[in-house]
Amino acid sequence: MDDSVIDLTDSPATIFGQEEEKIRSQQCKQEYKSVGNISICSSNVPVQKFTTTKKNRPAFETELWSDKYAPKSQSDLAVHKKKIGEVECWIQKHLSAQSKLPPILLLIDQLLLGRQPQFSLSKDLDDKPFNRYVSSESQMSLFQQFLLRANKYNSLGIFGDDVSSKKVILVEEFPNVFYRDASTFHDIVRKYRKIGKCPLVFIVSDSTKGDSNERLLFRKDLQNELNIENISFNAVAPTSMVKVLTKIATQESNQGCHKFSIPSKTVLESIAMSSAGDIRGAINALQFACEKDTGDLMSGGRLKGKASLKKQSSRGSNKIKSKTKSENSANPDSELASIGGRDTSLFLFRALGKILYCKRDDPSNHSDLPRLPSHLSEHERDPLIINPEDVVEKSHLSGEYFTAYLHQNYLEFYTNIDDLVRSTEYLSDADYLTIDWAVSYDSLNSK
Amino acid sequence: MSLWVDKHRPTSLHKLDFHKEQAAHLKKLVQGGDFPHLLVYGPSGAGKKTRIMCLLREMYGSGVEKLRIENHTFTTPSNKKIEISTISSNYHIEVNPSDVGNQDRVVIQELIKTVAQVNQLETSTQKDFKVVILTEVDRLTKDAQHALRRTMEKYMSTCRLILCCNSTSKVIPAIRSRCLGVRVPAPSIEEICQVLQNICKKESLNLPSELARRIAEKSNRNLRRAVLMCEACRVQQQNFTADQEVTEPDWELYLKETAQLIAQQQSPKRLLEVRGRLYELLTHCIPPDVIIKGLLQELISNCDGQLKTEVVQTAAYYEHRLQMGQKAIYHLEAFVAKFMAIYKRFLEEGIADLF
Repeated sequence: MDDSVIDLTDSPATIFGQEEEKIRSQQCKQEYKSVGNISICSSNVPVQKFTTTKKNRPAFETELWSDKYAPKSQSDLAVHKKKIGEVECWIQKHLSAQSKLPPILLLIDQLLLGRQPQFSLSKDLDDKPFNRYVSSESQMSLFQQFLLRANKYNSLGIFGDDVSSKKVILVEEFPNVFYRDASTFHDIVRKYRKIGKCPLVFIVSDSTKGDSNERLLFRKDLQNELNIENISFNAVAPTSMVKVLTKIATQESNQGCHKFSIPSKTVLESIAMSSAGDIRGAINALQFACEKDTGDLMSGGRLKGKASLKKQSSRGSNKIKSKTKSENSANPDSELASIGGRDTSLFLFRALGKILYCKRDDPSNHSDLPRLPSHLSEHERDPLIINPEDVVEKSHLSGEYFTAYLHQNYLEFYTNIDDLVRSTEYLSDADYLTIDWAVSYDSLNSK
Repeated sequence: MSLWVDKHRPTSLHKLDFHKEQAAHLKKLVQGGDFPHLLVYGPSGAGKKTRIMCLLREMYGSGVEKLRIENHTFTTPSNKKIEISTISSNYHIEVNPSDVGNQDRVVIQELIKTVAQVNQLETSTQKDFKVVILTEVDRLTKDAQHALRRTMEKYMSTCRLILCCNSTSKVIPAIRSRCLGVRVPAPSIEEICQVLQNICKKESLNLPSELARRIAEKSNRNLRRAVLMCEACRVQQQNFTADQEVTEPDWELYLKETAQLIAQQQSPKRLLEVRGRLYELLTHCIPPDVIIKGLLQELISNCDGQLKTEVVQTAAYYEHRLQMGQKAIYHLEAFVAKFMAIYKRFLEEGIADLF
């Protein structure tokens, strides 16, 4: 966008911790804000004003909890300690080294983990102002200018604090142009490598599989050529997520703008599960859920929460652990879809794979499972780990399409004709049983 | 130059070659001035369509023979455009709603509405209703059939429906009870021979009666097929000879080969091959019930006495499924798989008995 403006904004005062207040205020963020980005702020504007005379409670919520409770110190971070140490170590090393060539770091994570606040924190400890590049629409020339200018000039000491000469450039988003034309981006980075003075850090989200941004923009050869270092983060563990959520919930119910009872542990757990490692999403979901009473989430939440606990406790052997882990990403979903869980829909062939390479559990783990009567014992199978109905539902295909795809692919999974007979029978049954569902085909098709 | 089938199709009721008594009944029906909705059913190649056209000619005169093909476009409630072509004259319109698959309900409702809302132009000289011919009614979805039932009652004053299908078993009872059923049975071998002789006479050819008989037998009492085969023989050889080879349709040979493949080897891999061939047949518009029948006839010849009952029972089971279900391939494949399993067990037992 051509009408991008250079905005000199200070960071919002609310996120200052007591200790770091001084430190924080000296960092002046030089942000490129495209006009489109401003809409983000609009959520802060209260739509409706109403006055209440409550002591110590703000009249209305002005910001998202995820912003309000952004981590203020390293200890607040929900990421593994080792990783934080790694990042910190890297920055320390390169800031002190003052080497000729500017080092470049690539932070990769699978989901939104809140690296950016985390990153700013690790910086805070070092008393370094840093420059941020936030733009999704800017031209590549703007990007280049930013890099070079940020490199050349120090941050402005608007607040009268001493301006440190040490700084780090942090790039959070890339202009879209680069996804089409990665080579210009490579050129800019190479150029920076030659003339840059301070460490450069890129943050890349690797949420999409396959052709990820990271692979496109930072090819292996480029990484080798420019000596780019990689630090990747895993999804936030549910336990640490629950810890964060509990803290926020407690604090909010005491001091927040409206009273609510602290959600039970099971509700928090299911929120943590359904967010699949996205801590910001989890906090937002929590805030949304707490707008009203969370009691109504209990009925479903409790049962499932328990089930998930049980699952965790049953992780005895290593083998089962790996199984539950792989399914963890898909399973936690339906549980709390009511308050904005992640979109966990399955890609078609993944869904098919889940059926065709069906995983079954050891029956000894499910001693309470009902058994078939003796005359049907030949149909007895080990208990399923996944629920096939869930898979179909998540694939967002009509049953007819799904069976058609299954039918096309299932033959290769058989070696014995007698087993095959049974599966063909089932397919035939399925077709016969779903004739009355054909009506819904029309409405499905129209979408 | 048109095919013999079309060229020598009878155009009036009294020119029909067989089921003359029925033709007379139909004539009387028309002479009465009005008639109810008709449901014409019978095997393919028995002359259902011919009879319907003769009936229309009897009713409206030669005007019905001025045909035009029109393309209609309808919009479904979900905003999807569907196209269908119809054959029509001033007095009637013929359409095969199952051409559009699942959307046939829209075609039934919209098309009949547009036709029925326009009255006949000259009521003084003509009948005061139009005729809508729906073919392949047995392939309509349940939805469409219910829509049809309502439409039938609503527009009774301005239009008559003639429904045409192979079997009434897939037509809902509500429709069957609202129509006068007209069954057109397949012609006998002798009748087919007679028709072939008549056609050849008109073409000034000499057809040996033995050849005519062989063609008639190979045609499975399907007159259309018999005439086509006869013409095919003519193309092979200018003058007919009694011992001339009668070529069968290539899909039948293909079906026989498929049956052989099944009998040769019983494995999932072979089933995959067979599936490919079944798809091939289905995409060439061979009806699935014909396929299962053809397969059964070939496969049963490989079977022992006691095995036959089991195989036939399986075939009957899956044929029923075919009629009830939606996707033929599932049921065809299930039948083939089941046969493979039965046959393999039979072979293994046979080998075990040997030693």
